[in-house]
Amino acid sequence: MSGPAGSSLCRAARVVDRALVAPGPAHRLLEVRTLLALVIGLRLATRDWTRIADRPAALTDHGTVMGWLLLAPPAWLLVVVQCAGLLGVALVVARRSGRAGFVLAWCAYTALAALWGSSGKVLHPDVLTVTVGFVLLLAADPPQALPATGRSPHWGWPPRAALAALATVYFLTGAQKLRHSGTGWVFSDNMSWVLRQGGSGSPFGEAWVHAVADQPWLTQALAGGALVLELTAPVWLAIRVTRVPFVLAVAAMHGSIWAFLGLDYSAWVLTAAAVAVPMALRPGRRLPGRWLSGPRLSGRWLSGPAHEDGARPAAGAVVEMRRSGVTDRP
Amino acid sequence: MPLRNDARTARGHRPAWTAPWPDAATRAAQATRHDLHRARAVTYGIVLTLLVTAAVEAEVWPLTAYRLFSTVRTGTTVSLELVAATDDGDVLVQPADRSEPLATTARQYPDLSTATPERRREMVTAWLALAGIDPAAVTTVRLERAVRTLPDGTSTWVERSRETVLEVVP
Repeated sequence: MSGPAGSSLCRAARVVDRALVAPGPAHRLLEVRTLLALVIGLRLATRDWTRIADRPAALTDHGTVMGWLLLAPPAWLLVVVQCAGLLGVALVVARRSGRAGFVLAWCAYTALAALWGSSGKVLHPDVLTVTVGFVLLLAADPPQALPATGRSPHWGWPPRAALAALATVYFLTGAQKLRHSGTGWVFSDNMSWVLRQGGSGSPFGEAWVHAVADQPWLTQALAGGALVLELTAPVWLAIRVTRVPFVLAVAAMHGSIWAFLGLDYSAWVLTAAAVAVPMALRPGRRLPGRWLSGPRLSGRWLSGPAHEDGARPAAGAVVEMRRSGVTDRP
Repeated sequence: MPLRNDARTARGHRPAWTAPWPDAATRAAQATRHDLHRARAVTYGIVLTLLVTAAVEAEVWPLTAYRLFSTVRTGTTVSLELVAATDDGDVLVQPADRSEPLATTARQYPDLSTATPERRREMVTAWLALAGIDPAAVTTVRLERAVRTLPDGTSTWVERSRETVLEVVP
């Protein structure tokens, strides 16, 4: 690619790449990972996964990542997997083998959600959490005692990769609407009919949904707002100060989907919040709660680059040695 | 001569197996390069995978084309239904449990058209079991296509046509 457009594109790509691999604080990765694990834990704990065992084998679709499993899993095995996932979440929150715990939780959740969705219909409520969680599987484990000012690409890239995955998913939901329906998705009776056809699922009754559906200006505004939000998601998430407004906007969008149609996309809202809210904070700020962002380790000799290999210094012993006049690291 | 591996020993006298490990600065630089490679591989890999999956419209959950309400809805709906012919008359076959993941098995109705006769019987028998209908009491099960519209000012869908797509004897 040559010319001014090409060079602008290359410059933009370099800017994005530099932002991706820039150093970041370890506590930020810890916050995102812990919050995402809690979302997984909530989904694992609040669904009766044993209903998978009630589905006849003849009606099990194998078009998922668990499609290789030809035998119908018994209910007890599903409960074991659920408990294993919750154990993984506990490990993440307790910061005991956090990385292994996150892998365990993600694998259990993905397996159960894939089996749940193997009925012939592509189910999307869990797919965003699974996709965003995937990028954290390969993130290193932050040290037990976090340096107050330590920053490294080691910790910086995973939360930004999670943001990128989040932005891509939301962008694609909008892009596919444009691809298959064009602007008629907004400037037609489409949203009115979506509401009329799905209004029977509303938890607040059907009458008010039909009343809204009968207002063309309102339905087109809803459709246009949703489409613009989805298509501009990468921009919202690329800028720190607009990440929290993005979370509020998707909460409103998915909340309205639930109110109108009874469709539960709470996992999408929680996943967006788990990633975007910590990443909206200024670099030196942390989320409140020692359990969430880890204990701080202060000390002049710790100011500077974080341990590149993820070493875990014994903070108590180091402080003692410092007081006694010993200046060498143990 | 004792084996030494430091700057005081001439390079030619150093055994090969005592080659020094990289010093801390080199290790740090290598670790950083490793982080950068991993960061780019994971991030660009996942974004590219999502984009390609959506472009080719593959559906292997969790890889999906993200077609959420992507088609334009109109005032006409077309749906497939299973109807069992029994001694007491026609009975609509639907799972007694109307929630996921059992109710969503109805999305496999279109697969009946391309399935083998044995597979059709297997699937239909399974749906009858989910609906709590005894297959022995059923003479035949029809897959029917129903077209409905919503008249202006009403909230009740009206059936305009119904045709049989295929029949299966369970």
